[in-house]
Amino acid sequence: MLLFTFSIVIFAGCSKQGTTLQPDPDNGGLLLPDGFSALVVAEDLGPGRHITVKENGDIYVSLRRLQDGNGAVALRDTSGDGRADITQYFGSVSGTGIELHNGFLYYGADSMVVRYPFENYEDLLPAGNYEIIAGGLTDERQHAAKPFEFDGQGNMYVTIGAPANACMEQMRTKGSPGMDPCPLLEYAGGIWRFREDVVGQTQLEDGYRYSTGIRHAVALRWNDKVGKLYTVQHGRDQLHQFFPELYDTEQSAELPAEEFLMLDDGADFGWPYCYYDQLQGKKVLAPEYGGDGVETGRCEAKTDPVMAFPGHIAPNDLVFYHGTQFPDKYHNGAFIAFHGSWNRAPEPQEGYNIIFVPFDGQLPLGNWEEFADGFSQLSTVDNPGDAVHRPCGLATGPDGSLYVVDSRKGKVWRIFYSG
Amino acid sequence: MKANIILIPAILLLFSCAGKTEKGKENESVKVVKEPPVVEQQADLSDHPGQPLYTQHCLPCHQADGNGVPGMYPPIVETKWVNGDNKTLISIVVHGMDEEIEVNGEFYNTIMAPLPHLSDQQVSDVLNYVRRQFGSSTEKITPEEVKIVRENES
Ligand code: HEC
Repeated sequence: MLLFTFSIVIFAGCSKQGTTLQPDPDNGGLLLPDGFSALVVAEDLGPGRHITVKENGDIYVSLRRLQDGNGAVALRDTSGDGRADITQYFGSVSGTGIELHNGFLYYGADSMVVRYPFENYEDLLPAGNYEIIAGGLTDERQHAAKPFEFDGQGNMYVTIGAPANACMEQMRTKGSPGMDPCPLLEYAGGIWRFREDVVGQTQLEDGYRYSTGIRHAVALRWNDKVGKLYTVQHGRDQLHQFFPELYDTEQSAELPAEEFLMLDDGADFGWPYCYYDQLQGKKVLAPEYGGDGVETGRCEAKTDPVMAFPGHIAPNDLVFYHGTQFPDKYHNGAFIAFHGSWNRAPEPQEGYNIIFVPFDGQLPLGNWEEFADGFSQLSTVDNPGDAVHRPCGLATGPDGSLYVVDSRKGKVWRIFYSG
Repeated sequence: MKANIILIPAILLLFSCAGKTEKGKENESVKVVKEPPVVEQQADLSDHPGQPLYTQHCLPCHQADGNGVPGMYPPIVETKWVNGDNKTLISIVVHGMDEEIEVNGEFYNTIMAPLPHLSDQQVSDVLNYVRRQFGSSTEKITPEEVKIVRENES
Protein backbone atom coordinates (compact mmCIF):
# COMPACT_ATOMS: atom_id res chain seq x y z
CA MET A 1 0.00 0.00 0.00
CA LEU A 2 2.75 2.37 0.97
CA LEU A 3 4.78 1.72 -2.15
CA PHE A 4 1.77 2.14 -4.35
CA THR A 5 1.16 5.59 -2.95
CA PHE A 6 4.78 6.52 -3.67
CA SER A 7 4.68 5.79 -7.33
CA ILE A 8 1.45 7.72 -7.82
CA VAL A 9 2.83 10.78 -6.17
CA ILE A 10 5.99 10.82 -8.18
CA PHE A 11 4.04 10.58 -11.38
CA ALA A 12 1.67 13.32 -10.30
CA GLY A 13 4.39 15.74 -9.42
CA CYS A 14 5.96 15.61 -12.85
CA SER A 15 2.97 15.48 -15.16
CA LYS A 16 2.13 18.53 -17.26
CA GLN A 17 -1.48 19.58 -17.28
CA GLY A 18 -3.09 22.90 -16.52
CA THR A 19 -4.86 26.01 -17.72
CA THR A 20 -3.79 29.48 -18.73
CA LEU A 21 -6.03 31.36 -16.27
CA GLN A 22 -4.28 34.14 -14.33
CA PRO A 23 -4.43 33.43 -10.61
CA ASP A 24 -4.74 36.12 -7.98
CA PRO A 25 -1.30 37.04 -6.59
CA ASP A 26 -2.19 35.63 -3.17
CA ASN A 27 -4.40 32.84 -4.56
CA GLY A 28 -7.32 34.58 -2.90
CA GLY A 29 -5.80 33.80 0.49
CA LEU A 30 -5.67 30.04 -0.07
CA LEU A 31 -2.72 27.78 0.65
CA LEU A 32 -2.47 25.11 -2.05
CA PRO A 33 -0.11 22.32 -3.06
CA ASP A 34 2.66 23.28 -5.42
CA GLY A 35 1.51 23.81 -8.99
CA PHE A 36 -2.00 24.84 -7.99
CA SER A 37 -3.33 28.39 -8.05
CA ALA A 38 -6.62 30.10 -7.34
CA LEU A 39 -8.57 33.17 -8.26
CA VAL A 40 -11.52 34.80 -6.57
CA VAL A 41 -14.63 34.43 -8.72
CA ALA A 42 -16.90 36.51 -6.51
CA GLU A 43 -17.12 37.90 -2.99
CA ASP A 44 -19.74 38.88 -0.44
CA LEU A 45 -22.59 36.96 -2.04
CA GLY A 46 -24.18 36.16 1.33
CA PRO A 47 -24.04 32.95 3.38
CA GLY A 48 -23.19 30.36 0.71
CA ARG A 49 -23.94 26.68 1.04
CA HIS A 50 -23.47 24.60 -2.10
CA ILE A 51 -22.36 25.40 -5.63
CA THR A 52 -22.77 23.95 -9.10
CA VAL A 53 -21.30 24.86 -12.48
CA LYS A 54 -23.01 24.60 -15.87
CA GLU A 55 -21.36 23.22 -18.98
CA ASN A 56 -21.03 26.82 -20.27
CA GLY A 57 -19.30 27.95 -17.06
CA ASP A 58 -22.26 29.68 -15.35
CA ILE A 59 -22.16 29.20 -11.60
CA TYR A 60 -25.07 28.74 -9.19
CA VAL A 61 -24.78 29.10 -5.41
CA SER A 62 -27.41 28.28 -2.77
CA LEU A 63 -27.77 30.58 0.23
CA ARG A 64 -28.55 29.64 3.82
CA ARG A 65 -30.84 32.63 4.22
CA LEU A 66 -32.83 34.73 1.79
CA GLN A 67 -30.96 37.84 0.64
CA ASP A 68 -33.58 40.49 -0.14
CA GLY A 69 -36.04 37.70 -0.80
CA ASN A 70 -33.70 35.57 -2.93
CA GLY A 71 -32.23 32.21 -1.99
CA ALA A 72 -29.80 31.62 -4.84
CA VAL A 73 -27.30 33.52 -6.89
CA ALA A 74 -26.11 33.01 -10.45
CA LEU A 75 -22.70 34.16 -11.71
CA ARG A 76 -21.42 34.59 -15.25
CA ASP A 77 -17.98 35.48 -16.53
CA THR A 78 -18.28 37.38 -19.81
CA SER A 79 -14.61 38.35 -20.28
CA GLY A 80 -13.04 34.91 -19.96
CA ASP A 81 -10.80 35.74 -17.00
CA GLY A 82 -12.67 33.42 -14.65
CA ARG A 83 -14.06 36.25 -12.52
CA ALA A 84 -17.80 36.88 -12.38
CA ASP A 85 -18.97 39.89 -14.39
CA ILE A 86 -22.70 39.31 -13.90
CA THR A 87 -24.18 38.49 -10.50
CA GLN A 88 -27.91 37.86 -10.32
CA TYR A 89 -29.99 36.78 -7.35
CA PHE A 90 -33.11 34.67 -7.85
CA GLY A 91 -35.31 32.01 -6.30
CA SER A 92 -37.77 32.43 -3.46
CA VAL A 93 -36.49 29.65 -1.18
CA SER A 94 -33.19 29.30 0.66
CA GLY A 95 -31.39 26.07 1.44
CA THR A 96 -28.39 23.89 0.66
CA GLY A 97 -28.52 21.40 -2.22
CA ILE A 98 -28.17 22.87 -5.71
CA GLU A 99 -27.58 20.97 -8.93
CA LEU A 100 -28.19 21.23 -12.66
CA HIS A 101 -29.81 18.12 -14.04
CA ASN A 102 -31.68 17.27 -17.25
CA GLY A 103 -31.99 20.94 -18.16
CA PHE A 104 -33.41 22.00 -14.78
CA LEU A 105 -31.88 23.63 -11.74
CA TYR A 106 -32.75 21.48 -8.71
CA TYR A 107 -32.67 23.14 -5.30
CA GLY A 108 -32.87 21.64 -1.80
CA ALA A 109 -34.88 23.94 0.43
CA ASP A 110 -35.11 22.75 4.03
CA SER A 111 -38.54 21.11 3.66
CA MET A 112 -38.54 20.12 -0.02
CA VAL A 113 -36.51 19.60 -3.15
CA VAL A 114 -37.76 21.77 -6.00
CA ARG A 115 -36.64 22.40 -9.55
CA TYR A 116 -36.61 25.51 -11.70
CA PRO A 117 -37.03 25.25 -15.49
CA PHE A 118 -34.97 27.28 -17.96
CA GLU A 119 -36.54 28.86 -20.98
CA ASN A 120 -33.26 28.32 -22.79
CA TYR A 121 -30.78 26.21 -20.93
CA GLU A 122 -28.02 28.62 -21.96
CA ASP A 123 -29.75 31.47 -20.08
CA LEU A 124 -28.15 32.53 -16.84
CA LEU A 125 -31.39 32.63 -14.88
CA PRO A 126 -34.06 29.97 -14.78
CA ALA A 127 -37.50 31.12 -15.90
CA GLY A 128 -40.66 30.95 -13.88
CA ASN A 129 -41.70 29.24 -10.71
CA TYR A 130 -40.32 26.09 -9.21
CA GLU A 131 -42.16 22.81 -9.06
CA ILE A 132 -41.89 20.54 -6.03
CA ILE A 133 -40.25 17.20 -6.73
CA ALA A 134 -40.04 15.87 -3.15
CA GLY A 135 -42.02 17.58 -0.40
CA GLY A 136 -43.02 17.03 3.19
CA LEU A 137 -39.42 16.68 4.37
CA THR A 138 -38.97 17.36 8.04
CA ASP A 139 -37.62 20.78 8.97
CA GLU A 140 -37.11 21.00 12.70
CA ARG A 141 -34.38 23.60 12.63
CA GLN A 142 -31.66 21.13 13.51
CA HIS A 143 -29.79 19.39 10.70
CA ALA A 144 -32.47 20.65 8.33
CA ALA A 145 -30.26 21.00 5.23
CA LYS A 146 -31.48 18.88 2.31
CA PRO A 147 -28.72 18.08 -0.16
CA PHE A 148 -29.63 15.60 -2.90
CA GLU A 149 -27.98 13.69 -5.70
CA PHE A 150 -28.84 11.82 -8.91
CA ASP A 151 -27.67 8.40 -10.03
CA GLY A 152 -28.16 8.87 -13.77
CA GLN A 153 -30.81 6.14 -13.71
CA GLY A 154 -33.77 8.36 -12.95
CA ASN A 155 -33.41 8.43 -9.16
CA MET A 156 -32.84 11.30 -6.78
CA TYR A 157 -31.44 10.69 -3.30
CA VAL A 158 -32.08 13.17 -0.48
CA THR A 159 -30.30 13.22 2.86
CA ILE A 160 -32.75 13.82 5.67
CA GLY A 161 -30.79 14.66 8.81
CA ALA A 162 -32.07 13.66 12.22
CA PRO A 163 -33.36 16.61 14.26
CA ALA A 164 -31.35 15.38 17.22
CA ASN A 165 -27.90 14.74 18.59
CA ALA A 166 -28.30 11.24 19.95
CA CYS A 167 -32.08 10.63 19.95
CA MET A 168 -32.34 11.29 23.65
CA GLU A 169 -35.78 11.38 25.24
CA GLN A 170 -35.10 15.02 26.03
CA MET A 171 -33.13 16.80 23.36
CA ARG A 172 -29.47 17.45 24.27
CA THR A 173 -30.19 17.03 27.97
CA LYS A 174 -27.69 15.47 30.33
CA GLY A 175 -28.86 12.22 31.85
CA SER A 176 -31.70 11.71 29.39
CA PRO A 177 -31.58 8.15 27.96
CA GLY A 178 -31.61 7.33 24.26
CA MET A 179 -34.98 6.28 22.82
CA ASP A 180 -34.92 2.63 21.80
CA PRO A 181 -35.94 2.15 19.08
CA CYS A 182 -35.31 5.70 17.97
CA PRO A 183 -38.59 6.88 16.40
CA LEU A 184 -36.83 9.58 14.35
CA LEU A 185 -35.41 6.88 12.07
CA GLU A 186 -38.86 6.43 10.56
CA TYR A 187 -38.62 9.76 8.77
CA ALA A 188 -35.07 11.09 9.27
CA GLY A 189 -31.50 10.04 9.98
CA GLY A 190 -30.99 8.53 6.54
CA ILE A 191 -31.07 8.87 2.77
CA TRP A 192 -34.41 8.64 0.95
CA ARG A 193 -34.82 7.88 -2.73
CA PHE A 194 -37.33 9.55 -5.05
CA ARG A 195 -37.93 9.67 -8.78
CA GLU A 196 -36.02 12.60 -10.19
CA ASP A 197 -38.73 13.78 -12.58
CA VAL A 198 -42.05 13.09 -10.87
CA VAL A 199 -43.65 16.28 -9.59
CA GLY A 200 -45.37 16.35 -6.20
CA GLN A 201 -43.86 13.35 -4.44
CA THR A 202 -43.92 13.32 -0.65
CA GLN A 203 -41.54 11.53 1.63
CA LEU A 204 -44.08 9.36 3.41
CA GLU A 205 -46.04 8.40 0.26
CA ASP A 206 -43.32 8.12 -2.34
CA GLY A 207 -39.96 8.19 -0.62
CA TYR A 208 -37.97 4.99 -0.19
CA ARG A 209 -35.55 4.77 2.71
CA TYR A 210 -32.36 3.78 0.93
CA SER A 211 -29.92 3.85 3.86
CA THR A 212 -30.40 4.55 7.54
CA GLY A 213 -28.49 5.26 10.73
CA ILE A 214 -26.96 8.44 9.29
CA ARG A 215 -27.29 11.27 11.78
CA HIS A 216 -26.75 14.18 9.46
CA ALA A 217 -24.95 14.39 6.15
CA VAL A 218 -24.48 17.42 3.97
CA ALA A 219 -21.90 15.97 1.59
CA LEU A 220 -23.60 13.55 -0.82
CA ARG A 221 -22.22 12.45 -4.17
CA TRP A 222 -22.80 9.75 -6.73
CA ASN A 223 -19.54 8.46 -8.21
CA ASP A 224 -20.51 7.41 -11.70
CA LYS A 225 -17.16 5.80 -12.38
CA VAL A 226 -18.07 3.07 -9.89
CA GLY A 227 -21.85 3.47 -9.74
CA LYS A 228 -22.06 4.13 -6.01
CA LEU A 229 -23.42 6.78 -3.72
CA TYR A 230 -21.19 8.25 -1.00
CA THR A 231 -21.80 10.58 1.88
CA VAL A 232 -19.83 11.95 4.82
CA GLN A 233 -21.64 11.97 8.14
CA HIS A 234 -21.46 14.59 10.86
CA GLY A 235 -20.91 12.52 13.99
CA ARG A 236 -22.70 13.17 17.26
CA ASP A 237 -21.65 15.94 19.64
CA GLN A 238 -21.10 16.56 23.32
CA LEU A 239 -19.72 13.26 24.67
CA HIS A 240 -17.85 15.02 27.44
CA GLN A 241 -20.66 17.39 28.25
CA PHE A 242 -23.14 14.57 28.86
CA PHE A 243 -20.73 11.86 30.03
CA PRO A 244 -17.79 13.55 31.74
CA GLU A 245 -17.06 10.34 33.66
CA LEU A 246 -16.41 8.47 30.37
CA TYR A 247 -14.82 11.11 28.15
CA ASP A 248 -12.40 13.92 28.95
CA THR A 249 -12.42 17.08 26.82
CA GLU A 250 -9.65 15.77 24.58
CA GLN A 251 -11.42 12.51 23.83
CA SER A 252 -14.63 14.40 23.31
CA ALA A 253 -12.91 16.67 20.78
CA GLU A 254 -11.48 13.72 18.84
CA LEU A 255 -14.53 11.43 19.04
CA PRO A 256 -16.51 10.25 17.34
CA ALA A 257 -15.13 10.11 13.80
CA GLU A 258 -16.71 11.98 10.93
CA GLU A 259 -17.52 8.96 8.77
CA PHE A 260 -17.00 8.66 5.01
CA LEU A 261 -19.75 6.24 4.00
CA MET A 262 -20.32 4.19 0.88
CA LEU A 263 -24.04 3.57 0.62
CA ASP A 264 -25.88 0.48 -0.43
CA ASP A 265 -29.58 -0.22 -0.57
CA GLY A 266 -30.60 -1.08 2.98
CA ALA A 267 -27.31 -0.21 4.66
CA ASP A 268 -27.49 0.81 8.35
CA PHE A 269 -24.64 2.88 9.75
CA GLY A 270 -25.79 2.74 13.35
CA TRP A 271 -26.82 6.21 14.50
CA PRO A 272 -28.02 6.84 17.21
CA TYR A 273 -27.10 3.52 18.83
CA CYS A 274 -23.50 3.48 17.69
CA TYR A 275 -20.65 5.72 16.67
CA TYR A 276 -17.33 5.01 15.01
CA ASP A 277 -14.26 5.37 17.22
CA GLN A 278 -11.39 5.98 14.81
CA LEU A 279 -8.79 5.44 17.54
CA GLN A 280 -10.04 1.92 18.27
CA GLY A 281 -11.05 1.38 14.65
CA LYS A 282 -14.55 0.10 15.40
CA LYS A 283 -18.16 1.04 15.98
CA VAL A 284 -18.98 1.23 19.68
CA LEU A 285 -22.22 1.54 21.60
CA ALA A 286 -23.24 5.14 22.31
CA PRO A 287 -23.34 6.05 26.01
CA GLU A 288 -27.05 6.97 25.77
CA TYR A 289 -27.61 3.27 24.94
CA GLY A 290 -25.50 1.89 27.75
CA GLY A 291 -22.11 2.10 26.07
CA ASP A 292 -18.92 2.65 28.02
CA GLY A 293 -16.77 3.80 25.11
CA VAL A 294 -15.43 0.29 24.45
CA GLU A 295 -18.37 -2.12 24.31
CA THR A 296 -19.60 -2.85 20.79
CA GLY A 297 -22.87 -4.72 21.46
CA ARG A 298 -25.33 -4.42 18.58
CA CYS A 299 -22.89 -2.22 16.66
CA GLU A 300 -21.05 -5.21 15.23
CA ALA A 301 -23.94 -5.57 12.78
CA LYS A 302 -23.66 -1.99 11.53
CA THR A 303 -21.71 -0.93 8.44
CA ASP A 304 -18.31 0.68 8.97
CA PRO A 305 -17.14 3.78 7.14
CA VAL A 306 -14.68 3.50 4.23
CA MET A 307 -12.59 6.19 5.95
CA ALA A 308 -12.74 8.00 9.28
CA PHE A 309 -11.81 11.62 9.96
CA PRO A 310 -11.20 13.43 13.27
CA GLY A 311 -14.30 14.44 15.19
CA HIS A 312 -16.58 17.42 14.60
CA ILE A 313 -14.77 18.94 11.62
CA ALA A 314 -18.06 19.08 9.70
CA PRO A 315 -17.73 17.58 6.21
CA ASN A 316 -20.10 19.76 4.19
CA ASP A 317 -19.37 18.77 0.63
CA LEU A 318 -17.77 16.05 -1.43
CA VAL A 319 -16.81 15.79 -5.10
CA PHE A 320 -15.15 13.01 -7.02
CA TYR A 321 -12.57 14.38 -9.40
CA HIS A 322 -13.24 13.18 -12.94
CA GLY A 323 -11.61 16.12 -14.71
CA THR A 324 -8.35 15.92 -16.63
CA GLN A 325 -6.88 19.30 -15.62
CA PHE A 326 -5.37 18.17 -12.30
CA PRO A 327 -2.42 15.77 -12.20
CA ASP A 328 -3.19 12.07 -12.50
CA LYS A 329 -2.90 11.46 -8.80
CA TYR A 330 -6.19 13.28 -8.31
CA HIS A 331 -8.17 11.40 -10.91
CA ASN A 332 -11.11 9.52 -9.45
CA GLY A 333 -10.16 10.68 -5.95
CA ALA A 334 -12.40 12.72 -3.65
CA PHE A 335 -12.22 16.27 -2.37
CA ILE A 336 -14.02 16.99 0.88
CA ALA A 337 -14.74 20.46 2.30
CA PHE A 338 -14.62 20.60 6.09
CA HIS A 339 -16.71 23.51 7.27
CA GLY A 340 -14.82 23.45 10.58
CA SER A 341 -15.68 22.40 14.10
CA TRP A 342 -17.39 24.05 17.06
CA ASN A 343 -17.67 21.02 19.31
CA ARG A 344 -13.94 20.61 19.94
CA ALA A 345 -13.94 23.49 22.45
CA PRO A 346 -12.21 24.00 24.85
CA GLU A 347 -9.64 22.27 22.62
CA PRO A 348 -8.68 24.26 19.47
CA GLN A 349 -11.06 23.91 16.55
CA GLU A 350 -10.10 21.91 13.45
CA GLY A 351 -11.20 21.60 9.83
CA TYR A 352 -11.87 24.85 7.94
CA ASN A 353 -10.06 23.24 4.99
CA ILE A 354 -10.35 21.01 1.96
CA ILE A 355 -8.74 17.61 1.91
CA PHE A 356 -8.04 15.08 -0.80
CA VAL A 357 -8.68 11.34 -0.56
CA PRO A 358 -7.01 9.17 -3.23
CA PHE A 359 -9.25 6.35 -4.48
CA ASP A 360 -8.76 3.02 -6.16
CA GLY A 361 -12.10 1.92 -7.55
CA GLN A 362 -14.78 2.05 -4.88
CA LEU A 363 -12.46 2.51 -1.93
CA PRO A 364 -9.96 5.06 -0.65
CA LEU A 365 -6.37 4.18 -1.31
CA GLY A 366 -3.91 5.05 1.42
CA ASN A 367 -4.47 8.17 3.44
CA TRP A 368 -6.02 11.58 3.02
CA GLU A 369 -4.00 14.76 2.84
CA GLU A 370 -4.77 18.43 3.14
CA PHE A 371 -5.43 20.13 -0.21
CA ALA A 372 -6.49 23.72 0.54
CA ASP A 373 -6.17 25.75 3.71
CA GLY A 374 -6.11 29.41 4.68
CA PHE A 375 -9.88 29.93 4.68
CA SER A 376 -10.02 30.98 8.32
CA GLN A 377 -6.99 33.32 7.96
CA LEU A 378 -5.85 32.04 11.35
CA SER A 379 -3.15 29.53 12.22
CA THR A 380 -5.44 28.07 14.88
CA VAL A 381 -9.13 28.67 15.25
CA ASP A 382 -10.07 28.91 18.91
CA ASN A 383 -13.55 30.29 18.36
CA PRO A 384 -15.53 29.47 15.21
CA GLY A 385 -16.71 33.08 15.01
CA ASP A 386 -13.11 34.19 14.37
CA ALA A 387 -12.83 32.26 11.11
CA VAL A 388 -12.99 34.77 8.27
CA HIS A 389 -14.17 32.15 5.75
CA ARG A 390 -15.43 28.59 6.06
CA PRO A 391 -15.46 26.28 3.01
CA CYS A 392 -18.93 24.77 2.61
CA GLY A 393 -19.60 23.80 -1.02
CA LEU A 394 -17.54 22.24 -3.82
CA ALA A 395 -18.03 21.70 -7.53
CA THR A 396 -15.91 20.85 -10.53
CA GLY A 397 -16.25 22.97 -13.64
CA PRO A 398 -16.26 21.86 -17.28
CA ASP A 399 -12.50 22.51 -17.60
CA GLY A 400 -11.72 20.50 -14.46
CA SER A 401 -11.23 23.48 -12.13
CA LEU A 402 -12.41 23.03 -8.54
CA TYR A 403 -14.84 25.67 -7.22
CA VAL A 404 -15.31 26.40 -3.54
CA VAL A 405 -17.93 28.52 -1.81
CA ASP A 406 -17.64 29.98 1.68
CA SER A 407 -20.50 30.17 4.17
CA ARG A 408 -19.43 33.24 6.09
CA LYS A 409 -19.47 35.93 3.46
CA GLY A 410 -20.09 34.06 0.27
CA LYS A 411 -16.68 34.14 -1.35
CA VAL A 412 -16.17 31.86 -4.35
CA TRP A 413 -12.76 30.58 -5.43
CA ARG A 414 -11.72 28.70 -8.53
CA ILE A 415 -8.73 26.44 -7.98
CA PHE A 416 -6.76 25.23 -10.98
CA TYR A 417 -3.54 23.52 -11.85
CA SER A 418 -1.00 25.57 -13.69
CA GLY A 419 1.94 23.19 -13.37
CA MET B 1 -3.60 6.07 13.19
CA LYS B 2 0.13 5.47 13.67
CA ALA B 3 0.53 4.45 10.04
CA ASN B 4 -0.80 7.81 8.88
CA ILE B 5 1.93 9.64 10.63
CA ILE B 6 4.53 7.69 8.76
CA LEU B 7 2.78 8.02 5.44
CA ILE B 8 2.24 11.75 5.36
CA PRO B 9 5.89 12.85 5.50
CA ALA B 10 6.64 10.39 2.74
CA ILE B 11 4.02 11.99 0.54
CA LEU B 12 5.20 15.51 1.21
CA LEU B 13 8.77 14.59 0.46
CA LEU B 14 7.89 13.17 -2.91
CA PHE B 15 5.99 16.25 -3.86
CA SER B 16 9.35 17.90 -4.25
CA CYS B 17 9.44 16.48 -7.73
CA ALA B 18 7.15 19.34 -8.70
CA GLY B 19 8.45 21.83 -6.19
CA LYS B 20 8.16 22.05 -2.48
CA THR B 21 5.32 22.33 -0.09
CA GLU B 22 5.66 25.47 1.91
CA LYS B 23 2.43 25.21 3.75
CA GLY B 24 3.97 25.35 7.16
CA LYS B 25 5.72 28.62 6.42
CA GLU B 26 2.87 30.27 4.63
CA ASN B 27 0.61 29.44 7.49
CA GLU B 28 2.62 31.71 9.70
CA SER B 29 2.50 34.62 7.33
CA VAL B 30 -1.29 34.74 7.02
CA LYS B 31 -1.80 34.70 10.74
CA VAL B 32 -3.81 37.84 11.35
CA VAL B 33 -3.67 39.84 14.47
CA LYS B 34 -6.99 39.35 16.20
CA GLU B 35 -9.01 42.42 17.00
CA PRO B 36 -9.08 43.17 20.69
CA PRO B 37 -11.89 41.26 22.41
CA VAL B 38 -15.18 43.07 22.70
CA VAL B 39 -15.30 42.42 26.40
CA GLU B 40 -12.98 44.37 28.58
CA GLN B 41 -11.34 42.03 31.00
CA GLN B 42 -12.74 42.87 34.36
CA ALA B 43 -11.51 41.37 37.59
CA ASP B 44 -9.97 37.89 37.36
CA LEU B 45 -12.94 35.55 37.22
CA SER B 46 -11.02 32.29 37.33
CA ASP B 47 -12.18 31.66 40.91
CA HIS B 48 -15.79 32.47 40.16
CA PRO B 49 -18.02 29.45 40.96
CA GLY B 50 -19.79 29.97 37.63
CA GLN B 51 -16.59 29.63 35.60
CA PRO B 52 -16.31 25.81 35.60
CA LEU B 53 -20.06 25.59 35.08
CA TYR B 54 -19.79 27.79 32.01
CA THR B 55 -16.98 25.64 30.63
CA GLN B 56 -18.91 22.43 31.20
CA HIS B 57 -22.43 23.49 30.20
CA CYS B 58 -22.36 26.54 27.94
CA LEU B 59 -18.95 26.78 26.28
CA PRO B 60 -19.54 23.81 23.93
CA CYS B 61 -22.05 25.95 22.03
CA HIS B 62 -21.42 29.58 22.96
CA GLN B 63 -17.61 29.08 22.91
CA ALA B 64 -14.86 30.41 25.13
CA ASP B 65 -15.19 33.96 23.84
CA GLY B 66 -18.99 33.91 24.13
CA ASN B 67 -19.29 34.62 20.41
CA GLY B 68 -21.00 31.35 19.55
CA VAL B 69 -20.99 29.73 16.13
CA PRO B 70 -22.12 31.78 13.12
CA GLY B 71 -25.63 30.84 12.03
CA MET B 72 -25.91 28.13 14.65
CA TYR B 73 -25.34 29.30 18.21
CA PRO B 74 -25.72 33.03 18.93
CA PRO B 75 -23.16 35.21 20.70
CA ILE B 76 -23.99 35.97 24.31
CA VAL B 77 -21.71 39.00 24.51
CA GLU B 78 -23.61 42.12 25.52
CA THR B 79 -26.90 40.81 24.14
CA LYS B 80 -30.29 42.05 25.24
CA TRP B 81 -30.92 38.68 26.93
CA VAL B 82 -27.70 38.71 28.93
CA ASN B 83 -28.15 42.34 29.93
CA GLY B 84 -31.95 42.10 30.14
CA ASP B 85 -34.28 41.12 32.94
CA ASN B 86 -33.44 38.26 35.26
CA LYS B 87 -36.55 36.24 34.60
CA THR B 88 -36.04 35.94 30.86
CA LEU B 89 -32.37 35.07 31.23
CA ILE B 90 -33.08 32.40 33.86
CA SER B 91 -35.88 31.00 31.73
CA ILE B 92 -33.52 30.48 28.77
CA VAL B 93 -31.40 28.14 30.88
CA VAL B 94 -34.14 26.28 32.78
CA HIS B 95 -36.82 26.16 30.05
CA GLY B 96 -34.71 26.56 26.91
CA MET B 97 -35.29 28.87 23.97
CA ASP B 98 -37.01 28.24 20.66
CA GLU B 99 -37.56 31.33 18.54
CA GLU B 100 -35.97 33.11 15.64
CA ILE B 101 -33.63 35.80 16.94
CA GLU B 102 -31.26 38.33 15.45
CA VAL B 103 -27.95 39.04 17.11
CA ASN B 104 -25.46 41.49 15.58
CA GLY B 105 -27.17 41.28 12.19
CA GLU B 106 -26.96 37.49 12.01
CA PHE B 107 -30.13 35.36 12.31
CA TYR B 108 -30.46 32.29 14.49
CA ASN B 109 -33.37 29.97 13.97
CA THR B 110 -32.16 27.14 16.15
CA ILE B 111 -33.15 25.62 19.45
CA MET B 112 -31.45 25.78 22.83
CA ALA B 113 -32.39 22.74 24.92
CA PRO B 114 -33.08 23.49 28.59
CA LEU B 115 -30.49 22.50 31.17
CA PRO B 116 -32.82 21.12 33.87
CA HIS B 117 -30.07 19.16 35.61
CA LEU B 118 -28.42 22.37 36.85
CA SER B 119 -29.47 23.23 40.42
CA ASP B 120 -30.89 26.63 41.36
CA GLN B 121 -27.52 27.53 42.82
CA GLN B 122 -25.66 26.43 39.69
CA VAL B 123 -27.96 28.39 37.39
CA SER B 124 -27.50 31.55 39.43
CA ASP B 125 -23.73 31.04 39.56
CA VAL B 126 -23.35 30.46 35.85
CA LEU B 127 -25.56 33.41 34.91
CA ASN B 128 -23.80 35.75 37.29
CA TYR B 129 -20.56 34.64 35.73
CA VAL B 130 -21.92 35.13 32.19
CA ARG B 131 -23.03 38.65 33.05
CA ARG B 132 -19.68 39.58 34.51
CA GLN B 133 -17.65 37.96 31.75
CA PHE B 134 -19.75 38.85 28.71
CA GLY B 135 -22.28 41.48 29.76
CA SER B 136 -22.46 44.81 31.49
CA SER B 137 -25.43 44.28 33.79
CA THR B 138 -24.45 44.28 37.44
CA GLU B 139 -27.81 42.87 38.50
CA LYS B 140 -27.33 39.68 40.58
CA ILE B 141 -29.39 36.53 40.11
CA THR B 142 -30.23 34.55 43.25
CA PRO B 143 -31.07 30.84 43.57
CA GLU B 144 -34.48 31.85 44.90
CA GLU B 145 -35.29 33.66 41.69
CA VAL B 146 -34.22 30.61 39.70
CA LYS B 147 -36.54 28.45 41.82
CA ILE B 148 -39.51 30.70 41.07
CA VAL B 149 -38.86 30.78 37.31
CA ARG B 150 -38.36 27.02 37.28
CA GLU B 151 -41.69 26.42 39.00
CA ASN B 152 -43.59 28.96 36.96
CA GLU B 153 -44.22 28.54 33.27
CA SER B 154 -42.58 25.72 31.40
C1 HEC C 1 -26.41 22.78 22.72
C2 HEC C 1 -25.98 24.13 22.50
C3 HEC C 1 -26.20 25.15 23.61
C4 HEC C 1 -25.79 25.09 24.91
C5 HEC C 1 -25.03 23.94 25.60
C6 HEC C 1 -26.18 26.34 25.52
N1 HEC C 1 -26.82 27.12 24.60
FE1 HEC C 1 -27.54 29.02 24.90
N2 HEC C 1 -28.31 29.03 23.06
C7 HEC C 1 -28.20 28.02 22.13
C8 HEC C 1 -29.01 28.34 20.98
C9 HEC C 1 -29.16 27.49 19.72
C10 HEC C 1 -29.63 29.57 21.24
C11 HEC C 1 -30.61 30.32 20.33
C12 HEC C 1 -32.00 29.76 20.54
C13 HEC C 1 -33.06 30.39 19.68
O1 HEC C 1 -32.77 30.99 18.66
O2 HEC C 1 -34.24 30.24 20.06
C14 HEC C 1 -29.16 29.99 22.56
C15 HEC C 1 -29.51 31.18 23.16
C16 HEC C 1 -28.98 31.64 24.36
C17 HEC C 1 -29.19 32.96 24.92
C18 HEC C 1 -30.06 34.06 24.33
C19 HEC C 1 -29.57 34.60 23.05
C20 HEC C 1 -28.36 35.49 23.14
O3 HEC C 1 -27.65 35.54 22.13
O4 HEC C 1 -28.10 36.13 24.18
C21 HEC C 1 -28.50 33.01 26.09
C22 HEC C 1 -28.37 34.19 27.03
C23 HEC C 1 -27.88 31.71 26.27
N3 HEC C 1 -28.19 30.92 25.21
C24 HEC C 1 -27.12 31.36 27.37
C25 HEC C 1 -26.65 30.09 27.62
C26 HEC C 1 -26.02 29.67 28.86
C27 HEC C 1 -25.77 30.57 30.05
C28 HEC C 1 -25.71 28.35 28.71
C29 HEC C 1 -25.09 27.42 29.76
C30 HEC C 1 -25.78 27.35 31.03
C31 HEC C 1 -26.13 27.93 27.39
N4 HEC C 1 -26.70 29.01 26.76
C32 HEC C 1 -25.93 26.66 26.85
C33 HEC C 1 -27.43 26.86 22.25
C34 HEC C 1 -26.86 26.43 23.43
